[in-house]
Amino acid sequence: MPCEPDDVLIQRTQVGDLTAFGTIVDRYRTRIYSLAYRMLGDRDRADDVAQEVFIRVYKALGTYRMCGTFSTWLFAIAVNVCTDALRQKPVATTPIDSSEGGPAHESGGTDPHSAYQRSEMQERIQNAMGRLPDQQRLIIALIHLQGHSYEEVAQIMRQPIGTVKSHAHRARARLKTLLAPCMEEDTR
Amino acid sequence: MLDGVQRYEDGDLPQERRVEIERHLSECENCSVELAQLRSTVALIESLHEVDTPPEFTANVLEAVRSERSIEQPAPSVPWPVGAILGIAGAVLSAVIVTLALSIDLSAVAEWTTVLKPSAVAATHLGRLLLEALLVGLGALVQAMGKPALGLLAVDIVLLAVLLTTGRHLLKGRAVFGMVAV
Ligand SMILES: [Zn+2]
Repeated sequence: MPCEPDDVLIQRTQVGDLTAFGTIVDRYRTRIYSLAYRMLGDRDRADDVAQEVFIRVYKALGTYRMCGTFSTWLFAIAVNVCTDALRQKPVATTPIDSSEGGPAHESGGTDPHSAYQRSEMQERIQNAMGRLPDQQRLIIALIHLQGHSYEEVAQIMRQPIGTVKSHAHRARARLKTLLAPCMEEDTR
Repeated sequence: MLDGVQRYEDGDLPQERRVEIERHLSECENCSVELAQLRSTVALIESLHEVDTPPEFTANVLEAVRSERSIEQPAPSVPWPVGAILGIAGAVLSAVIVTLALSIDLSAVAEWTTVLKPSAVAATHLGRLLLEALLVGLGALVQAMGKPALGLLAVDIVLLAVLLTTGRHLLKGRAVFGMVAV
């Protein structure tokens, strides 16, 4: 079974096949975890939230009817769980210019100096994201990190597409200001 | 202007407005810088890496899901009135069986006992054992279907009543029942 479609795996899970559900989790865990991490700015919380997403998905599978795609439904649940978590405790950001303790995992790059620069840049971008209102950060993450279209984001968030677009525009304008110093460095 | 540039980037504008904006961008440095910065911003955001889950992530999820499931499915439990009805039905059934056993022609049993050779006393004991085994079996059945204690109680009460009313035919009845069961 090289690549079973989501819906087949869902049907198998619905009749009690936990292995099929494991395949679903493996398929989406990096995306859901990344989204949670970008939303919360904390790996431990992202881990809890991502697990909670899949547990909720499993519990809701009994009533899940295949209308629309599974991934839209999955991300809608992820958005709800992230929003709940943010209500309890806001996103973690480090003060601007703080360069201690970069992101815990960085792939690629053998030159330690450039790897450090890259990781510092990652942290600055993450921090800029953290300064956006939750809704805007969510929309930016869904579009630019998860590759969803405006239409998909509107479905996931159950909001009119016009609202999604205006949030995205405001978020990009704010990020442009926040990240201006990085761009100057980049062009130097 | 940034908003106009973003809508241009989104591809949301009608053709003539696009052409207009493109003409403006080629003439206005401010706006073309604005567009370049917008694109760099998006490129920076998109340069954020995906982050990997801890290796035990899927195992943890499946473990949590498994314990959820064992909590949620402690056998489809039967509501108590259904359990009581099942118990009483079981008791009535066993009463009917006993009554039928008692009504069987005893001459046949006399032959059976002689054929099988054990003394009447032995047959009586055998019958009692088998009747009790049947009771236990019925109890187990009721237990499997509904409320255990209530069902067993109902079985016991009805059987006690039957045994009392059949009085001194009881021993014969047990013997007969035992033979039938054999
Ligand atoms: Zn201009």
